[in-house]
Amino acid sequence: MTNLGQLPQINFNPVNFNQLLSQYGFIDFVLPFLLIFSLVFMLLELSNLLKVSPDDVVGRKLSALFSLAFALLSIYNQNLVRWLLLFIPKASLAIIAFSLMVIVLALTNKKIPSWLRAFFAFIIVGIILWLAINSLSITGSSAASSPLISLLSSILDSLMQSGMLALLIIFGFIFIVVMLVVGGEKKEEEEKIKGPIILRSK
Amino acid sequence: MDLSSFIYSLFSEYGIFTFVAPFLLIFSLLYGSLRKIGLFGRDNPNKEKLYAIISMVIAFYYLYSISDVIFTSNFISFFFFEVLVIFFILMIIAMMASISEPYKGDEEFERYKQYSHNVIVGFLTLTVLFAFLYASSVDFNGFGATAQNIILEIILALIYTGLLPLIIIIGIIAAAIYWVYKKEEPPKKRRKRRYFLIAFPEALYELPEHTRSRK
Repeated sequence: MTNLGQLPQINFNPVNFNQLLSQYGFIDFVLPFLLIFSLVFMLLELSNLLKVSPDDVVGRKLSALFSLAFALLSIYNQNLVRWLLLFIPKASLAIIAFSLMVIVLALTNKKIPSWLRAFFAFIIVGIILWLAINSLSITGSSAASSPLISLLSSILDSLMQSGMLALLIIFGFIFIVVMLVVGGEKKEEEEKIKGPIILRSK
Repeated sequence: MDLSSFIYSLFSEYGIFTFVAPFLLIFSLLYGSLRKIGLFGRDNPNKEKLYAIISMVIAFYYLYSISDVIFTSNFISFFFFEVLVIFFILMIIAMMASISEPYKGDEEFERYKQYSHNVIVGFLTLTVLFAFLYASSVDFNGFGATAQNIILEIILALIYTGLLPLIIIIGIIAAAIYWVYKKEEPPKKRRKRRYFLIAFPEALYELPEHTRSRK
């Protein structure tokens, strides 16, 4: 019987796969490049922007050239690589979650109703946008903590200091109240339920 | 030094990011556009050469301003991120569309759906504006400072010259006059509030289907 302790020990250094990918420039260079190139090329092919006819070979080459340049110039901005690293894993998680939901709902062998479909659309848009904004702000990128924000806040400050914001809110409030009071849609709906006056009198 | 940093420094050193890529971007875009619109006639034998020369010259002029190149880099990178976000949304939406049934509405609902589609198209167009604002906010030395100053100065001028209150008051008066004098719609065609909520998602669900049916 072979003793397990007697087995030859292999000197195996557990290599972190992520580290390996990073080390060879996959995460920072190859993957973003391929993603950007393929998406932009696909969009150009879809829109036929640079093609004279659908079979135009030169146009196709120009699209490829444009996508190549687009990808190279995009990854020059290192922030993009960070955004992608933060956004894509979480968005993929969202895809997994929704596909699991699709699998579970497929068990019922019945299509989900339209109101639930509408609700899901809002949820999907909300989640993905939230993830995107989150990945922008976590990186401390200029999109979230930038002069753009300071510009917006300075506009808000000037609006507040000049009293314009209060004026806008007051007018908005008055407008909503007037619309609610004078709208009169409810009245018509009530009449619809009750039916014509002649029938009601009977 | 890891490989990615080495590639970056190598590319920067040889001007791939600041010379080759921007040149190819502008050249291919201009050359392709000129070919497509056929500005110099379809039968001109020298048109291809002329297009190439014009595109090349404009691309070199563009490269002259390095700050504009950096601005472009920021601009298109943020734009790509937005495209990716839209891509993810459409992917999940298309997945959900396969297991749900669309709302079958009347003619009015279809009209609302068309309006919602237009609103979505408007939002998609806004991505370019957002990318521009991002790039303006990052690149101070180049385009950014000017763009920011213009926006800020316009708004401040509107506020301090008293034009903004005037515009708001005129707007309110115009809205009130329109509201009073507008033609009353027959009761059957009154807006259904429920349509507001359902038409937008339905238009969103239709987007991937439109893309799929494209040849």
